[in-house]
Parts: sequence; structure tokens; C-alpha cells
Amino acid sequence: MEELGSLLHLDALFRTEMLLSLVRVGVLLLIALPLLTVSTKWIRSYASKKLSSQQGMVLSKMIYYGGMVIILFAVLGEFGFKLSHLLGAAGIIGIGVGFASQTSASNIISGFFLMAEKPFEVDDIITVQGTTGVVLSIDMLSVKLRTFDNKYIRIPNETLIKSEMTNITRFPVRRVDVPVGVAYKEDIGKVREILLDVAQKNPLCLIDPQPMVIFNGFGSSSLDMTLLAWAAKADWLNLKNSIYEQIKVRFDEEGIEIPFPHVSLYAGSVTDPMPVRMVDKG
Amino acid sequence: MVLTDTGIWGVKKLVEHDVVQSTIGGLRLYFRKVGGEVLVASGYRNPKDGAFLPAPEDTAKWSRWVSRGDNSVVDIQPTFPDRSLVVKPDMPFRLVRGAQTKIYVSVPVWVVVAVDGARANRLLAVPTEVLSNTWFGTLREGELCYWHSSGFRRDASPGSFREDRIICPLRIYNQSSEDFPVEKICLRLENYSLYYDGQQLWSDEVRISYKGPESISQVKVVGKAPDEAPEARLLATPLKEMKKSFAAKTFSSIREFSGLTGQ
Repeated sequence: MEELGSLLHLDALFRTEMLLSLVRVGVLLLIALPLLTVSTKWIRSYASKKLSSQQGMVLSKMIYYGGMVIILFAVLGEFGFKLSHLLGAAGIIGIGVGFASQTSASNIISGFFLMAEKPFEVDDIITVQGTTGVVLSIDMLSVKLRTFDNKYIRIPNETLIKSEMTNITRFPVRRVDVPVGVAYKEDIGKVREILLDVAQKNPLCLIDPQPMVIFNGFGSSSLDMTLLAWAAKADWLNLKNSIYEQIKVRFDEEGIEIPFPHVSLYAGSVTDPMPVRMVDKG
Repeated sequence: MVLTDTGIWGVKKLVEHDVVQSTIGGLRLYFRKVGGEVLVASGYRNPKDGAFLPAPEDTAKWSRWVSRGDNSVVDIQPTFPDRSLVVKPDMPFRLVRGAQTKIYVSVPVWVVVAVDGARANRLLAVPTEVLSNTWFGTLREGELCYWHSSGFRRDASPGSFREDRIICPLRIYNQSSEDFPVEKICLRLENYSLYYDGQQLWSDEVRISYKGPESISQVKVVGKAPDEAPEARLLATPLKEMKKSFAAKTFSSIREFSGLTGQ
């Protein structure tokens, strides 16, 4: 039995100092981890109200990662690991890891540039490479989006730095462009007045900037115009949905024709019938 | 201070299942009391024939409120719109440098409905006139306001205004070095007090010093009943208390908005 105990080094395992260290680490983790989680959430919530969602998120992540590093060093310190030894090993490991994780390092650095440049913030709606969504978070390696059909999209920071990105909600007002085509027989001036009246009567359409009608040209089947109407960004979609319907209703009331695409064939004369010749009687 | 039974304002008694209506300008409110709950519906005057629709029969068009107390009375009180208001004179005018003028702007009143005679039991606020939205500022920043094409009047003779309007006396001083075209004015209604002289609703007088197109105007809210109605009673203090004077962008010119060349 004694040989077994000495073979398994049970005496070392049950040494008082090791037990005490384990207990201390256990207590540290039991207290520190929940405390760190709760305080991170509270800081994020408080900072989001006082500052912005973006700043709240950045602050909470800084505190979370900083707290985790402190806890890690405290735990390692309990087991006798010295910080100077770790830093020495980190230098050698860093070179190896650096070669292996170039992409991750690029994403991390791109993340810092994104935070500094601030092309968008949390809760903004952005479009990147054809994907549109609400920014949920800007993390160390990637940005997370929620699309409007509730999909979760992860975009590496490096992709965002390299690609063209559109921030749809950066400015407080947006314009709705409504293409309208009317029959050639219609009076352009009357159509313009009707479109502007429809826009001004829509409560979501801003009076300033003023709505405007642009005549785009003589299309193949219609006179082409565009109604430009502005709305607060929160009302943009509702304005876009409502104004098309209101234009149609008003055009019907005023007898304005919206033509469908059509082509007229003339055999050299408007009035003569189209000639038809039988090629093969069989 | 609340208005009690003064024509359109004040308390209306509710009887179980009966419909009580109240008309303020172009707005008609309908109230019903059903089993201790208060139901409220609203409608606007038809601009073509000037008539109101009857109380809606579809229950989905009523809003239901369950409040403290027995809800036997509803209290109808006036208030300002919930956003700033941009007004434009029917005929823009130019104020010569160094000159001042006094104008009166009529603001469509909003109606606050409360139960059991206490503003603390406020149910909802309804506009007497549906106002369009407008933007006051640039394409990059500004604020969402209401738009009202009000006649700027130069006099405030009794009977010249409506009971569903709040009259805002504005005194404008041109302290810039050039003539000032008065095209649009943004009234920050949250800083104004509301008064009533028995017939007409008033705000306190607002004094605006225009200092040039690149500067911010100095705005001072006098903080007492206007000279035109010195005996008017205070109904409501400002929603946002400000210092006696503050700097605010109050005027803008039409050329700031191109709509096409946008900033």
C-alpha cells in the first residue's frame, strides 16, 4: 500500500498547499466569473442608454476581455506560474502562431480600423456584397448581421475593409424614387401636378426637402417620369408602400393611363393593312 | 390648472353604454363606458362636405382603456403638438436689418384625454388636424417636425382666431448686417407655456433675435401671459424647461434643400 501511494504520488496531491490553491482558484472562479458577466451586461446596458449601442458594446467587450485576462493571470499565479516565464514563451509561440493565423490577425487589425473609422455602428442597416442586414455586433474577427428574413450572417472584418459597403441608415432622411410611365396622349404638366399633390397629401412624405418630378424622356412605350419624395428613415418603407398605391388610385380617378409595353408594326403606311404572302401551299 | 366645462374643454360625464361625443375644430372624439372600461374613437371632418362620420360600429376602431377609479368622467384638455412645428408665411417677407416685427402664428391644438379629472390618468393625445411631416435641418442632420402653412398675422384682434388654435406671438429682431427673408420658422413648442383667456388659447411671447445665416438665433421665451391677454390663466408649463434664452437654429432658407444635389 505504501508503495502504491508513493507510486501514485498521492502524498504530493494531498499536500496542503496544493489543496489550498485549488480551493482559492475555485472560490476565485465562482465569484469572479459571475461578477464579470453581470458587470459586463450592466455596463453594456448603461452605456447603451447614455452613449450609443456601439459604444456600449465596445466598452463591455473591453471590460470582459480585460477581466478574463486578469482572472487567467490570477489563476496561473495561484499555481505558481510566473508572468515573466509566460512572456518569454509567448514570444516564441507568437512567431509560430503568427504564421498560422495570418487571416485571423488581418481580421483583428481590420476590426480595429473599422472601430476607428466608424463607417457604421450597431443597429445600422448595411449592405455588403449583396447582403443587407442590421448590425448586431462588431467583434474582433467579424461583424454579425441579422437579415430582414431573420438569418444570421457573419462577415469577416477583412471583407468589410476590402469591399464597398453601403450604410442605409447613416443619415436621418432618405429619398423614395418612384418611376412612373404614362401614355403618350397624357399632358405632362397635369401628370406632374397630380404626382406632386399625391406626395404632399401623404403625411409620411416630408414637405421639406420638397418632392420633385423629373421627366426622364420619351420611352419606347410611355412618357417616363420619376417622382422623388423624401421621408424620415423610419418612415421610408411605409412611404414607399403607400405612395405607389395612392398614385394608382389618383391616376384612375383622373383618367391617366399607365400603358403596358407595346410595339406597333407598320408596313410602310399607317392605314394600309399588313401584306401577307403564302410561301408554300403544301 | 385645468379647464372645467368651458365649451369644448373640460369634463364630460360618461354613462354606461351611451356614446358621448366632443368636437374640437376638425376633430370629433367619441367616448363609451363599458363595464368600467373607457373606449375612445376619433374621426376627422370630411374636407369635401364638412361632415363627420358617425361613431364607428366596428369595435376594432375603438381603443380600450382600463384605468384606476370608476372612469365615470373624461377630461378633455388642450396641449401643444408633440414635436416642433415649422411654419411658413403665405407671403414671405423681408425684414430690413435693424428692424423688428411682431407676428401671430396659429398652431393647431392637440387634445389630451384623461379620466377621473387628473392629468396623471392621461389616456392619449390626439391632434385636431393631421399635420404633414417635414425636416428642419440639412440632409445630414436635423429634426423631424410638423409642417403648418399658417397665415402669419400682424394683429390679434378678438375673434380673429379659432378655439382649436393656440396663438403664438413672435417678436423677431433682425440683428444681422443684412436684410432677412422670413421664409420658414421652427417653433420649439416644448419650451412654451399654455394660457387661456376664456375664449382663446395662447402661448407665451417668444422673442427671436436673428444674427445672420451662418449664426444661431437667440430665442427667449418670456414666461408669462402675452400682452394681448394679460389676464389669461396658465394651463400648462413647458414640457422642457429651458433657461430664459437659448440658442437654436430657428430659421432656414429654401436653398438648403435641393433634393437632387444633396450633401
